[in-house]
Amino acid sequence: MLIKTGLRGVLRNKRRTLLTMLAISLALATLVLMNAFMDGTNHSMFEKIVENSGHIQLYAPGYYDESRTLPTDIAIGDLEATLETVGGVEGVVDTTAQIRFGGMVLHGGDDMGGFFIGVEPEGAARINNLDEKVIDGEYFAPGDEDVCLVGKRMAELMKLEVGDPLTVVTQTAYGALTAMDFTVKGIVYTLNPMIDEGGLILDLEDVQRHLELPNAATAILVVGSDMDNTIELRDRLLATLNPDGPPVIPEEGEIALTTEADDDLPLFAGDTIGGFEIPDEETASPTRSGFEGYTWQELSATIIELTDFKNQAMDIIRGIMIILAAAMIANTMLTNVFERTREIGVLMAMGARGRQIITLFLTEAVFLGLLGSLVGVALGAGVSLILAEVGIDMGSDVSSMISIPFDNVLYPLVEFNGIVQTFMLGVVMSLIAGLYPAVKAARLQPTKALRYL
Amino acid sequence: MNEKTVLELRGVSKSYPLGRLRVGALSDVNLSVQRGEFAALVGPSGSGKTTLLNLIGCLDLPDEGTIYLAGEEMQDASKRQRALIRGRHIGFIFQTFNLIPVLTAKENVEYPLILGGHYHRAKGSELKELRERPAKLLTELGLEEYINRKPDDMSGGQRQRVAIARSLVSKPDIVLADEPTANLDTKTSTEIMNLLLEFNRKHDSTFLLATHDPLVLDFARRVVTLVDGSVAKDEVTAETEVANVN
Repeated sequence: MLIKTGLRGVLRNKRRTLLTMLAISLALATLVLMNAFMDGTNHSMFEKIVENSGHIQLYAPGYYDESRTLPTDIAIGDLEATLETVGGVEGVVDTTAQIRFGGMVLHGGDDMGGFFIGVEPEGAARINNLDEKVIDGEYFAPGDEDVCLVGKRMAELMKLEVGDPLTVVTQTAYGALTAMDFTVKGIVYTLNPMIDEGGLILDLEDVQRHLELPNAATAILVVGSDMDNTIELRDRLLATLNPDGPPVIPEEGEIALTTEADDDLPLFAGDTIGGFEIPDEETASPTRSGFEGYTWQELSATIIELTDFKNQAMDIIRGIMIILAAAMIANTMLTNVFERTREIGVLMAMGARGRQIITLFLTEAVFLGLLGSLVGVALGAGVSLILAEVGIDMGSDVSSMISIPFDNVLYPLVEFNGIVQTFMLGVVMSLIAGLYPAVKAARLQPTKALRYL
Repeated sequence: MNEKTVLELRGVSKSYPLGRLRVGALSDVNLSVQRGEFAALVGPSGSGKTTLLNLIGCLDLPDEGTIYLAGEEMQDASKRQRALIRGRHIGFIFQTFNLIPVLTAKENVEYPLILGGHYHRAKGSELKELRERPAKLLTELGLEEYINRKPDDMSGGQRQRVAIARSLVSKPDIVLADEPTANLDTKTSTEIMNLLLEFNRKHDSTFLLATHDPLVLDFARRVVTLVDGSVAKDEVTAETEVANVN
């Protein structure tokens, strides 16, 4: 009966109930929409990151710390065998190798600094979907030699078109200056700002030849079965690739060599081992034995930190919205208590105990919250689903503007768990918001309540 | 205090704060009410009628003195115990009916049974009788057709009859009525008083009615007059049980 009275009590002042429900519904709908928008943003961003970087990247020891300078003299050697070993590790779905380096691009009297990647055409198509990102011209084909794909913005800046020749000036892995001539085979728009703004994509074989890195690469991209659980796979990979434990990263000026008699390593240029003299730094092999590995989360730590910061900012906004909705419920319930003070007195006169009065008013608050939350999450989920279907055009080139890989059309992501959590949040918020008015009602003095007009 | 005594007040006093002062509302009131009495409590405004009803109804506690209701001393009862006493031993009728507007007549009458935990304690045939009691009472009060109507669809007299049914449904030891006819016309007031008297006779229910209405006095068999917080007169006006006079 108390619950029945509470439920019917909600309908006593229909306009007030409607307004309160509207406030709760709008707050909850906005929360669902915000969650879908945020999840969609994060999902799109992380998908793009993973598409560009794979789940895990393997380098020669010491490469990661120097990666900003795009070194080609810290490379993984014996690439074919390494790729075979990596591919055999449990949980590895796919692999591909890259050589990343920097230099200048020259074309028709113009020059521009650039970021260059040598890729395995098939692997890059499988893992990076690179073949789908060609917006003009064509993707690599078997038998191609010295052709390249140019980032969209770079092509615009250097007035490069398909078929145009260009020259890349860089250093070989041994530090010698070299110039390479390529023909533009296609223009790409990858949503990776580094490539789109100033990138050239080349065939790995061409790069290996020009940079004197035969059967070597600076990075191996590994794709596992689950983008969220990458640490276990990384550890498994490193355990397989470094059977003797983590490799020693050579200090500057040292060249680490691995031989069967390497107990006294590291050795220095000029030292002799087994009758052979250690070559000086200029002619030392750019490949290193041993591996280091990083997950995509570690490689994108700054972006993930930014995302966490963004999530925290959104949490504050969510909190404010919840507090506003709770204040609305509390206000409605307090008004109900004031309006029904005399009725509370009558209930007390009939023997109602404090707990029963609290139950009565909490029922009303929770019912308001339930209805409001239900309508709110339904509304929010409905709008989110429609937007998830049609997408939200964020305008052109968002990724370049924010320097983060990001799809220009955002698709909100509607997650069932998120909707349930928002709904529960609405109900719990209503319960908490209704508690104070309910306790206030229960604490009324019966004689004062009965005198209330 | 004999076994027919429903209510007994011994030396009851009550005052209320007014700024820094305390204003006496009741002073050394002694009163005894026997089962089956139909008594009126009269007096000018401010004489202490409502204060006395509040104390008897366990809605408030006296500053001094003792109140016994159905043999239980109420002075030391906790808030929860007083709520239980109200739910089990006392029925209330108010001047403005005070029905719950969102409930039907039957649900309104049923409410004290739920709040007082009567349904919880009853079993078998007793529970069945309890469940049937609200409708039966309303029928007895001539409201058979209004059982499922809400208060807004009823006249003042009909509402007061629902309130009477509500006050009697838990078979309380005493029904306290505060100006039960104040909001009714003479004809309806007479009907209501006749109904109360009928219940008093048929069910041996005990009534204590605080009133200004001379019509109520015509029905009362005992009239207790309060002046300035004290019992000034306590007279038997018709055939009744013996009353203790202050």
